[in-house]
Amino acid sequence: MIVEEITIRNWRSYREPHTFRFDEGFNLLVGRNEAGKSTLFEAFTRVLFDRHTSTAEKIRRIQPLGSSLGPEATIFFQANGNRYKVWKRFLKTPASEFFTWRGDRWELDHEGDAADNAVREILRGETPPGASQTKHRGLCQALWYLQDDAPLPEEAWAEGVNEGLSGIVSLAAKSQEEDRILKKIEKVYSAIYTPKNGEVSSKSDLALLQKEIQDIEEELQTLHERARRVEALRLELESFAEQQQMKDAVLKAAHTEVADLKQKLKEGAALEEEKNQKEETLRRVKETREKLAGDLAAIDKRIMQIDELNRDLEEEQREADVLQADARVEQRTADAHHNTWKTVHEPELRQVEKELGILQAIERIRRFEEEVARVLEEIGRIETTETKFRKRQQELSTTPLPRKKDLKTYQDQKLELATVNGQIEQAAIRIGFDLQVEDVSITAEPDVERLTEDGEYLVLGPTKFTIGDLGMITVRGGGSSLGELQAKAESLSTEIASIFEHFGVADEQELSDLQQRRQDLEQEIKRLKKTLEDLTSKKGLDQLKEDVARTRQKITDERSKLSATPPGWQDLSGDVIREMSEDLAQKKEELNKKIEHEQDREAEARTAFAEASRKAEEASSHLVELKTEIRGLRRANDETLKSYSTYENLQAALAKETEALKQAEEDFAGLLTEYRIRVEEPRAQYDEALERLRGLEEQMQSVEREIVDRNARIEEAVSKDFYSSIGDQEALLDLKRRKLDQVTRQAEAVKLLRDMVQAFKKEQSTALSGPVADLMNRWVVMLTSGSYDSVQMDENLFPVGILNPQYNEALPLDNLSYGTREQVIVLLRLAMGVLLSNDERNLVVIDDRLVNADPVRMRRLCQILEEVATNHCQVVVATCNDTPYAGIQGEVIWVPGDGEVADQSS
Amino acid sequence: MVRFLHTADWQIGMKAAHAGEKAKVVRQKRFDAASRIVELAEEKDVDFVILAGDTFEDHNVGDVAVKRTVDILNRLGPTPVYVLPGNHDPMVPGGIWDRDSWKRIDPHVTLLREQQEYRHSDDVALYACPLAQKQSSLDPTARIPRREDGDNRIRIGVAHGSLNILPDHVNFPIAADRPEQSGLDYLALGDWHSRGIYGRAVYPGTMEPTSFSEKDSGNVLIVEIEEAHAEPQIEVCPVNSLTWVGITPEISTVDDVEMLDRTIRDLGPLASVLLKISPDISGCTDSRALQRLETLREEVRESAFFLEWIDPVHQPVISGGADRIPDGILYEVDEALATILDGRIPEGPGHQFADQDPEVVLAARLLLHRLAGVRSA
Repeated sequence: MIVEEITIRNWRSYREPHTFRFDEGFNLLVGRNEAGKSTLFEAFTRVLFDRHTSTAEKIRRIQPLGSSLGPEATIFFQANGNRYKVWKRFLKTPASEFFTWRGDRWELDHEGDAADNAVREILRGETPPGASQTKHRGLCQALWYLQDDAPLPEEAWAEGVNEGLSGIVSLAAKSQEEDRILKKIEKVYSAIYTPKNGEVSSKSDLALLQKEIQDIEEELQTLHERARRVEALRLELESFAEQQQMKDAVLKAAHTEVADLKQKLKEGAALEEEKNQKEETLRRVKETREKLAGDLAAIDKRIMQIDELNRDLEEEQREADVLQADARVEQRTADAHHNTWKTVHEPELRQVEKELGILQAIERIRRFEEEVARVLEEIGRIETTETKFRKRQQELSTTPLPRKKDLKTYQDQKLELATVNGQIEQAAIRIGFDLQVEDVSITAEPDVERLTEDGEYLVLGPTKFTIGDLGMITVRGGGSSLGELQAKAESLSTEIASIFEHFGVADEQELSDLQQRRQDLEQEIKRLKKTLEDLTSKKGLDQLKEDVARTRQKITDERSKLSATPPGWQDLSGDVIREMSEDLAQKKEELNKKIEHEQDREAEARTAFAEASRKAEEASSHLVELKTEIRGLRRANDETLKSYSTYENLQAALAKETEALKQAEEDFAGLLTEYRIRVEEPRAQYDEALERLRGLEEQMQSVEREIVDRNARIEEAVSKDFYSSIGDQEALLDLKRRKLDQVTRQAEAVKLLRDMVQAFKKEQSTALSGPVADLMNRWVVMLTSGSYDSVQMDENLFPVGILNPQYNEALPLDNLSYGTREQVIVLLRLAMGVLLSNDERNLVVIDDRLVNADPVRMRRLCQILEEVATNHCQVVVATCNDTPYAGIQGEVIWVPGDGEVADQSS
Repeated sequence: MVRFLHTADWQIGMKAAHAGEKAKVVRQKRFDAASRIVELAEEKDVDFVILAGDTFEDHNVGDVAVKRTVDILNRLGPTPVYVLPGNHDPMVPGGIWDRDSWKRIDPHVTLLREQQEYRHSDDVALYACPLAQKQSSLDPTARIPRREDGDNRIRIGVAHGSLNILPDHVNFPIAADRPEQSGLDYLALGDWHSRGIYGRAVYPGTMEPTSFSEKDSGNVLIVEIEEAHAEPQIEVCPVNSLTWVGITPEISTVDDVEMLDRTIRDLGPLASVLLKISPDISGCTDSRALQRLETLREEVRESAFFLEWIDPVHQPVISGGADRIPDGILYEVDEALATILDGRIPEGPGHQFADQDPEVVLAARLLLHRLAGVRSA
């Protein structure tokens, strides 16, 4: 493609619409730095490759500073023999339109996204979601060498090695038909394989089919597993069936054995009967003999017992006699003691007690008499105290004696009078005389006393002072209060006088003495009263008098009792009586002890007697028992012997039966041997066989249970009809596998086809690199004056080294100087442009890339640029310095800083 | 005189995996054939029915299949039916004959479980040779007793195995002269799905075909024996529902395809036909013939009950197919593919693909032609 014209507006520094027109050959875009040269190329890429709706940061940056206007541009270009026009506005009200020149006018072919896509398809580029990058520019990636572009792509031209080269190769092919088929191949390929690593895509039919087959195989495996389980069960069942068969045979044999033994047992039944009879006989003989032996033994035993009892009887008889004698002795001893205390000691005791009673009565009478005297004395004391008490009470009530209260009243009034007098003195008029004359007497009427040391007079009432000869001074009197005080003082004095008068005293001392007298009298009355109360506290006077009468009665009573008092005893002194009483009491005590002693002895003898009597009684009753027992034993023996007549007969019978038993036992032993062989042993065998049979039956049942179990499990398993499911799955698997074979073959075919196409493409690109290298080599020789003569290219059409003919050695491109490397890259782009413009011119853009060339090289580069622009491509070179390019024939487009465009052809 | 129906190899429940998606229907059709046997037995008024083994395909066939079989056999009553366990359904513990669903069988059906004589009537004795395992190299008929002098009963052997007339080692080999050795008037056999009459030893074949390789299957036999030693009279009666046909035509020209078409049409309605066609087109250079064959294939696929079309391994390369491929890479690729198919090593980048599987190479070339809009083989 070549660009005819571009108009931009609201685009960075281009706020107003600016139009730039380009020549088909060489175009030099000249402008100072920041003038907007690169902005123009940016507009190329944005309009041709970006989505108009993109709001990526790169797009937003093209908006003029401080503006919200939508940047827009229109590009007219030629491609594939057609003329196109594309207009896009970004950001604000984004829009996109695509026109084609048909005959004489522009026709709008697409709008919006369709317009974006149309441009992209023509230029074989890509429209990414965001802002486009260098690799999205299709062919332009190789032919446009802009400021921001790296010298070479990171991996390969355009989108990766394949995509980048395919763009070039496709264009190189220049066949739409081939391109269409190649696209179809890619489409078919990408329906099966992933584009990145060429593996089978998980969404492809092939993968899905493989997955389906895997699922079926797994399902089949499950089903087969079930079939194997059933088969295993069947094998087990077979084993159980064999066991069943074997056990059945063993069981049958066991049954036969049991039946045989049963028959034997039946045959031994007669012997059994005989054995039973003999057993019975033996038992009976044993019984008879045992009875006889028993009887004999019993009789013998009893005889021995009787002998023994008789011996005991004699012994015990003797003991009983001794016991009875003892009892009699004890009885006599008891009687002797009884007589002693009853007939001797007891009368003595009565006499002593009588005498003691008399002495005690005398003693009591005397004590009563003392009691009467004491009480009478107490009565006298009470009566005396009472008389004194009454006398003092009489005195107190009849004599006027001031109480303490009266004395207090007097003292209060006396104090108040003193106070009133003080107040009078205070209230009185004080008159002082200071006379200039000496020896002048001053008198007062009534007289007033000179009160103060200063010589002042205290005037209590109307007073007339006569001052010598000098004259008189009359004082009419004090205030009214003074009068009241004086009246009060007088009243108080009167009351005090009446108190003295009442008690007949003259002064205070006497009054006080009288009051003391009253106090003493009152205390004495109180004390007497207390004494009287003490005396009568226990008993009153009347009671005491009653006591006297009662005691006197007691004396009378006692005296009446002393009728038989021995002569002289009445007159005995107290001490004698006491002495006699003590003697008698001692005697009485001794007698009591004697009686007690005798009584104890008597009781002991009686107890011994009772014990002896009891033992004697017991002995005699035991004797009776022994005798009874002996009689019983004798009777028993008589009874036993009754059937044998005599003891000897019994002995003979026993001997006979013992012999018979021996015989019977021998008989039985003989039979028993035969019985063991014919009955017992078969019976044991029969029991054993039965036991074995039962065991076998149990085993059989167990095996049968296992069989039932396995059958049930098989039944359960096969009821799910997995067999036909296996068939269905196998059929399905077969189908799918066949299908897989087809699909796999088809997939392999697609891969082969695609691989071959890639291989041929690669070869073509390699073939392409040859002419590229040829061109470059020519230019390199020219540019470097033969210092380097050829460029080495890799399969990606990347220059990797440059050959120095002098040393015949290739230098890696990286070893070259920056300027030389830059020049080689420019030459590469130009060479690619030349080769890709065989049929149609293509635009090559070099944005200020040759600034490091020396003048000689620059001149040669200009020759190369001119050659390319003249014969092959549209070339646009941007520079801030047009001088080096002065020799090139072409269009110079000025990009002035003020936004104005001025075309100037050179 | 005795008249009986001889059938075998019902193979009820067979997987029929090679019938693909029609396997289930194929299984169902066997019951239709069995039902027709019931009708036939009644129609022919037979004295009894012999089912000489492989009634069931396997011990594990589904319950429904067993029940349906039991129902069909029960419908034969009161005509006695003698069922022999074969190598697919041998008499083993836990096998099909122990299944609950089999226990519903009516008393007129006798399962020939023992190797012994089964007395059908005073005049007819059956000598059953049931199998108790799936494989054996022993002759199951070896224990059939010889005919004793004066025994004038009709003696019929019932066995399952391979008549020992083939050179290969076979399963359950049966002496070819067993009828003569044991004095049998008829040896009712099962196992071979193709019908075969070898003197008195007779295979009826399966009553419903089971594969493309069978011959004369889909029948039962009505056998009449006048008396002991008399020649059995055998009537073949078809009972099948489906027909299995395998064709291997050589296709070189359009006429060959037309002939194949006629052959197929002669088979009758294809709705009950399972077809296996393996065309040999190795000698075909006529793209029209191939195109016609492709059309026929689609036609048959639509009308046949089941079609298995075997694509030939080596397909012809039809020249002139590349005329619509534009010059350039693709043309070179096509050339390289053609060279490889021709057995040569191409020059240029194509040489690295010379050892590719020819089938894949061919498919790749066909794909290229298809994508280029070129009609190829």
